[in-house]
Amino acid sequence: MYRYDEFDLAFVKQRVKQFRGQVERRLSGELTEDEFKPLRLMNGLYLQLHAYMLRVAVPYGTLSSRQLRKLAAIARKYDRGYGHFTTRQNIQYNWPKLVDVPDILEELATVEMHAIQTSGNCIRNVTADHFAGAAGDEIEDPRVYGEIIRQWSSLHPEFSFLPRKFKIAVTGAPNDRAAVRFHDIGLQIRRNAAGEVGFEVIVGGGLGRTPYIGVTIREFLPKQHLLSYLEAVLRVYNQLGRRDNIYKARIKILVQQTGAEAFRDLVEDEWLQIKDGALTLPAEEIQRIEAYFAPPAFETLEANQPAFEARRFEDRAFARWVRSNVTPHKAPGYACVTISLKPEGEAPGDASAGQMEVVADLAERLSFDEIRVSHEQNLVLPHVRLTDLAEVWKTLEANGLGTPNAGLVSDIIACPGLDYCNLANARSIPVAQRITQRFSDLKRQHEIGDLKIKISGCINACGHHHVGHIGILGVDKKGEEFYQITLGGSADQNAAIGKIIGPAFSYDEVVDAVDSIVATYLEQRREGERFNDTLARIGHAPFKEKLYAAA
Amino acid sequence: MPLLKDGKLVEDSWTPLAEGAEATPEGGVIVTLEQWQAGRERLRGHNGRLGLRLKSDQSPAAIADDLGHFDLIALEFPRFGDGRAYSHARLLRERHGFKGELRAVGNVLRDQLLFMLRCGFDAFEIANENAVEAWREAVAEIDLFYQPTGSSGPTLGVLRRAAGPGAR
Amino acid sequence: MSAKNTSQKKASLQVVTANRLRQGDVVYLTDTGRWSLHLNESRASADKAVVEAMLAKAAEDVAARLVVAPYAFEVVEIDGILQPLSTRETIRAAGPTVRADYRSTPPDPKQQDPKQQVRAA
Repeated sequence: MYRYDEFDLAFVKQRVKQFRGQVERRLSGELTEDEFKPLRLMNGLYLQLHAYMLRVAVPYGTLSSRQLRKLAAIARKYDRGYGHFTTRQNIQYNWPKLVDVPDILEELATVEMHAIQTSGNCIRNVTADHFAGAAGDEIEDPRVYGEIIRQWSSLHPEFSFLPRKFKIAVTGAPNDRAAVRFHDIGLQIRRNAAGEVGFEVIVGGGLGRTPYIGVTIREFLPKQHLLSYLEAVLRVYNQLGRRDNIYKARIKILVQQTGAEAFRDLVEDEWLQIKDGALTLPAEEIQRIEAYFAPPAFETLEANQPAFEARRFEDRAFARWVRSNVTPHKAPGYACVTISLKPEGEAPGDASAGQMEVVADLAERLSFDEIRVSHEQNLVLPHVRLTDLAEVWKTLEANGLGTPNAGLVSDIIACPGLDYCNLANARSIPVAQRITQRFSDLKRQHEIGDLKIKISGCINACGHHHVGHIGILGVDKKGEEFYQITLGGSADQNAAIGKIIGPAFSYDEVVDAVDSIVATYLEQRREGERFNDTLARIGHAPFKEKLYAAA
Repeated sequence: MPLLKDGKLVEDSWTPLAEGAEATPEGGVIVTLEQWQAGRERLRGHNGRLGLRLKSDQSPAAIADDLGHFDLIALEFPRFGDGRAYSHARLLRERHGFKGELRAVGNVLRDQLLFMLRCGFDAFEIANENAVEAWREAVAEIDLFYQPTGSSGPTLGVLRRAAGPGAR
Repeated sequence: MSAKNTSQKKASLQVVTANRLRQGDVVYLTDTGRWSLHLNESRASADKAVVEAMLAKAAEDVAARLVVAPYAFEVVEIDGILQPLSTRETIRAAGPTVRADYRSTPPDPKQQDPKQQVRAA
């Protein structure tokens, strides 16, 4: 993974000192709250329902054990002993004090971490495939470009006061695990006919109040033009994005209103003026960053590991966990482990300081010192030997981290919702908790198979409900919490936005509603059909019939 | 309004052209885009220096061909969050080669000074009691930049290459 | 009986809340002008002029850098306990409903269980 050099370290230290000065000027009254707010947002500090909330950046979701231990220590020292992993691969602390934040940032800097631009109308954390560097279907590791974009976008003087937030995602494989079609800019690494590697550039995707699937404005962009092209897109957006209405200020609105073709022309016209200039990436620079993401020294192993197979055969519980939480690796004899942060009855995506330390220890010993945060609010150990899986599983199990539900119905994505968030209309975490309790039978979960439920507590859609197979949106109906259900969303390369099934359900009814939908799916599905396939074949009617049958 | 230039407070020797005024004052006069477009021929004959003030939704492309007439361009920040002028400034400097005074006006705050400087502004109308001190602190806070702009010092990339391999 | 039915019978009571600038805690304005961590210690009034004066006091405390983001919201008094009308303010007063150990302050013994409060609201 990327290691700061002396310049990166100096930059972060300067930024910490600058923020410390800004906090002092706020506390002394030199800065009003209105003037301070965008400054604190540019350092990831929100004022939320109960307290301040600090969002720490985890660039492209990659952490070392040393970094994860520091995140645990910060949770203990400055917060309430836990952290929340988010749908953009970051971590959030829910209870920091403003006066402590400069010290927190200073401690983060000692492990090459920061909270720069995790909020505000600027370019946010660049996210990537959580199996990067391990997945068998990968063309190239997207994190190389995540790092290049991260550096280019850090305190960019032209793009620090954009019309709205700006989110970029990169994926290196045709199976898109980074939801690139739902980002302001999505980059899909591609090979052209000549075998060269470059990017498909997709602009104007997004969820929120008005979900859109992004538009491809360039089929193939050679690598050296990555930054100049991004600069052209941002420059067009900065000038033309709406400034009068925050609900119409994202680039997706600009693309829709301008029209995809006309928008592309604007970008390409600007780009022609700056391509081959100072932002051109020399091959040596790309190689320099690539070196940081070189594969670890995998042992040469057989793909088939008898000890592992035997254990799987003997131990049903272990086998079940392998089936859902272990993913094949490109290096024979290795695997990716998904650590579920969705145990039954708990808040999705939360981890205690103790749990973080357990994961850090496992990573250091058994995963080449690397951890990933997935945008599905789980953690990943990307490089584990098959023969070490049993030990990993036992340790995870003993620490509430071994739930065998990755990708299953209880692996729910939920935003913090009305329990934490100022913007929310309804709670989402308790709905997630109650769903996991309703589906607590693991045998049934494995029978149901892959099923993505996503819950948002308001129309801002931070829980990504639009792209859930079953999406749940919390709304306020005359002061009561109600939940609208959508079906058929998908965040991967078969991008789709879910459609509303019918009238909303109350807080008391919503779990029964989900149960009913799953029951219809199980009754109707054919061999090998996943939820969206069945839905496409039979339509909404059978689901609605059972859902809204004589209440 | 105090004017900050080259790290000092200076007298503003420019006057905005009054609305509907016919005769242009001697000395430096600043016109709006509307005034320029309505009275180009007459204004080009002005004795003294000409300046232009652009709103945040007025692109420099509108006057790219006329830049040679202006010794000063003022770009507005109606709210500090309206960041369009950062792009306009860079375009004026780096695309259109504008060499005159590029002035930031409106809601100009200390914490945006360094961004503005890096985008090519060299004069700032700032409502700050301690403008000079604020300036000194603001421009010294960060001296390492990842992105090349026309008006930055060397980027981290350049510094790395100068330091040679093995710089950690 | 739902809290909303009660409010239709009398003029709506309002309290003023904010967050402590330095620490971020949720606080409520009391009748001594102090800010309390407990909703039940706050001054509640149905008199518009009084509420405006409370908001003015809050604005002074914003300028004095004690608190940030003040506003008023409706409560009802049930059996001597102040209860917010909205789910949002109920949760804000009691802490997240999702785990008991996430409360922002030690629970006020007079305040009901937040999970029950929210269901009743």
